[in-house]
Amino acid sequence: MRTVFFILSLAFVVNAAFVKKSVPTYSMAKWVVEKNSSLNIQGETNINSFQCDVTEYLKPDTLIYTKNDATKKLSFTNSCLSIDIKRFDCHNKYITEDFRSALKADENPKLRIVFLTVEQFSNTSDNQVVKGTVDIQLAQVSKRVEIAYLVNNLAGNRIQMNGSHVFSFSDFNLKAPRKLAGLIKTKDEIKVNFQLFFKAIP
Amino acid sequence: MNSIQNTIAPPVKNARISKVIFAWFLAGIVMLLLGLGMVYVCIHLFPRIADEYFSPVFRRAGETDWTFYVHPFILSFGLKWFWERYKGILRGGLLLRALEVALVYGLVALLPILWLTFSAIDVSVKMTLTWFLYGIFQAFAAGIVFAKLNP
Repeated sequence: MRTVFFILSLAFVVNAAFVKKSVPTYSMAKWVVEKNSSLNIQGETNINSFQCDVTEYLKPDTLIYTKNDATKKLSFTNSCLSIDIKRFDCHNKYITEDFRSALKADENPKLRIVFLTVEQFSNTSDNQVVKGTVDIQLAQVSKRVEIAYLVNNLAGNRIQMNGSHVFSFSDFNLKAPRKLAGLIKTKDEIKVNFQLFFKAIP
Repeated sequence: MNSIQNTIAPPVKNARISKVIFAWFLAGIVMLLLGLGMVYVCIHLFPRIADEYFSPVFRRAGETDWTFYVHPFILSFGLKWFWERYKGILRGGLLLRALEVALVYGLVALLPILWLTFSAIDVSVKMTLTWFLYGIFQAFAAGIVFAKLNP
């Protein structure tokens, strides 16, 4: 009995000492947002449809993340894109002014996209669809959404991420523009499309 | 004889007032429906002009929406007073008399006030013209109602 107990204990100690455990490893890196990144918002009124664009991203924001090498999940820290609402151009001066006003641009001039996670990210494959989570902050309201990105790895350590999501004005406690006693109105749903370019810095 | 007239007169007067109020109210309803129809037509036929309603010079829909829906009844009240006062000098058939009411309203009331509006507020000439036509058509409709009910 003693011998059996000794052998079992020895086996346990040997196993603990020599068998390699799968401890997750993490790597940290940065993405710098490139100037040619763009964002547009598509909406509809009962008159016609409109599109508001921000075609140039002027602030050189940096996204910092740690990557779980086993799961390929990116976890971002203090990483956000900040967009000046007054830079939205809806290609129609009336709709542009009204859209900015609907988003309360004077009181809250920034739209912020806070990156939280990106799942299954690979910097080698192209046209991969990955899911990610972001917080959209607008008019002092934050909304967490899951977005499916289409990721492309470009030459020169550059990454392109395209995605879109449908929001409602009411998600941010905003009111869709309505005029003439409600006879002229904008639909509550708006589609946000973005095309982001990053420069990866190891 | 006089005592008989005195006892008959009030019901006749009441009936006349009821008829005037009915004509005022009916003209208001007709103008409201016509107005909504014309806005609908403007949205579909002239979307570029209708886009201008998104301009910040126009009030956002909300607490004051009711004022828009009441405007035909205010216009109807004014036109009804005009009709009762001057219907004697408006000659011709029903449509001609209604047209005359519309043109008088257009020239005396609409044209000066829209001129003033255009000079003070950033609205286009096209938009101002749609308001002019909107008012003329409304007054024409009211004129038809009045000429039919209180000739």
